[in-house]
Amino acid sequence: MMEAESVTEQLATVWPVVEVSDCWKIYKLGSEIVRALKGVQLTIESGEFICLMGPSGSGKTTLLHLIAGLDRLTKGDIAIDGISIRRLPESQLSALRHEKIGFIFQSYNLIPVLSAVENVELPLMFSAVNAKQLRQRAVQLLQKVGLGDRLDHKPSQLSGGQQQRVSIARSLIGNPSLVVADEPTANLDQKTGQEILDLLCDLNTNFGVTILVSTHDSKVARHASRVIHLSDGQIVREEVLRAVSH
Amino acid sequence: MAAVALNWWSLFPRIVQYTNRHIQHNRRRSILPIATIAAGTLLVYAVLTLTETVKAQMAELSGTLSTSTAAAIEQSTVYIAAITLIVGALETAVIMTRSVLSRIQEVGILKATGVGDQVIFSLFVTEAVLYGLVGGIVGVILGWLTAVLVQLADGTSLSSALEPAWLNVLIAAGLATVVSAVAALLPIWRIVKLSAIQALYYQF
Repeated sequence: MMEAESVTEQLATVWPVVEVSDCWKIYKLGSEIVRALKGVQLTIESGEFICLMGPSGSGKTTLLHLIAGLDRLTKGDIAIDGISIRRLPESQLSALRHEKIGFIFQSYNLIPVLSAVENVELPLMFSAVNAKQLRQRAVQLLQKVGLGDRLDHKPSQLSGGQQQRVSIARSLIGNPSLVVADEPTANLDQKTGQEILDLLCDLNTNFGVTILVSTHDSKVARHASRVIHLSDGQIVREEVLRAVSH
Repeated sequence: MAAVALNWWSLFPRIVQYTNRHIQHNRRRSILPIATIAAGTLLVYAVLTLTETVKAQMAELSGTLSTSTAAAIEQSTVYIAAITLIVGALETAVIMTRSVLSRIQEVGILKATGVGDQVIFSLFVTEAVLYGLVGGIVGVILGWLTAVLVQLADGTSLSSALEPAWLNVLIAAGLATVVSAVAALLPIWRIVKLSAIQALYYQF
C-alpha cells in the first residue's frame, strides 16, 4: 500500500489527475439529438475537492460518467493521470477503472446478494490480490467509514446512509487517484447526507484523496475547494474556495 | 494493491463462491431454470428409452410385420425424439435468457467497478453450467423413476428398468448442460458488450 501511494504521488507531480479537453457528448434520444456536453475544459489536480454544480440536465452526470470511464465521449479527450482514455480498448478501460477511479453512485448500486465486506472487496475480488489481504483491507475501510460492526450485513439490512458508506468504502478499495461521486447525498435525509459529506471531506483532508462530486445542493458546495458551475453542457463559472497544496 | 488479472484456474474458486452467494440468497429464482432443465431432460431421457423399447419390439415383431411398416414406426419415434430435444433446448434457452436479463443491472455494477468482461462472462457461464448439471441430474433421476413406475404398473419384469440406460443418461444430462451453457452465451455476450452505463440504466 505504501508503495502504491508513493507511485501515485510521483505521477501526480507530472500529470494532473484529470485533464478534460474539449469534451463533447452527443447522443440520440428517440429522434432528438441531445448535445449533453459542448466542449468542456477542466483540469483537476491531486488533492482537490471539486464540486460540480448545475440544474438537472446540465450535463453533470454525463461528465462524471465520462471522467470515470463508464461511457465513451463523442469528441475531445480525457486523460486520467496522463493516460488518454479516448481510444483505450474496453479491457484496458476497465483496468483503469479499478486501478485509478472509485465511483460512488447516487443509488449506491451494491450487489444485493453480497455482504457489506464482500461488496467492498468486489472491484478486486477477481484480481490477483491475496484474499486474506483483501479481506483485511476491506474490513479496515469499513471501520474507517464507521461500519466496523456491520461487516456481514446484506445491503437490504442496512439503512440508506449505511449503504452509501459501504459504497464509499468500495470506491476506496483500489487506492484510487480519484473518487467520483454522483449526487451522493441526494437519496439521503439531511443529517445522514451531512455525515456522508463529512466523511468525504475527511478522506480529502486527512488521506489526500482527490474528490469530484456533483450536486445541486449549495450546502455540499461549501465543503469543496473549487466549485464548477455547469449549464446546458458548458462550464459557465468557476469559484476557488480554498487553495490546495499539492 | 496491483490488480493483475488472474488466470482462469485461480479465478475459478472465487467465481464459484460468487455464484454460490447468488444461489444461497435467491433459492427460489434458481428453482425455475433448474426445474425447466430437469423437465426437458426427463422428456429426452423418456423418449430415448422409449425409442429403444420400440426398436426392441420391432425386432421381435419383424416376422409378422412388413419391413416398410417397421421402418416407418421406427422413423416416427426418431422424429418424436428429435422434436423433444429441440423443444427442451428452446425452453432452456428462454429461461436462461430471462435469468441473465434479470441481472443486467448487476452487470453494470460489475463493469463500473472495473471487473473485466471475461470475468463477468465466466460468472454467468459458470452459473448456467451449474443449472444445466443440476437440472440434468434431477431430470435423469426423475426419468429413471418414471421408467420404474411404468414397468411396475405394466406388471412386466422390473429387471430391465432398474438398470438405467447409461448411454441415455449421459446423452440427456450432457445435453442439458451444453444447451444451458450455449443458451446463456448469447444474452450474456450481448450484455457484456454494453458500456457500464448502458447496462446500469438498461430500458427493457
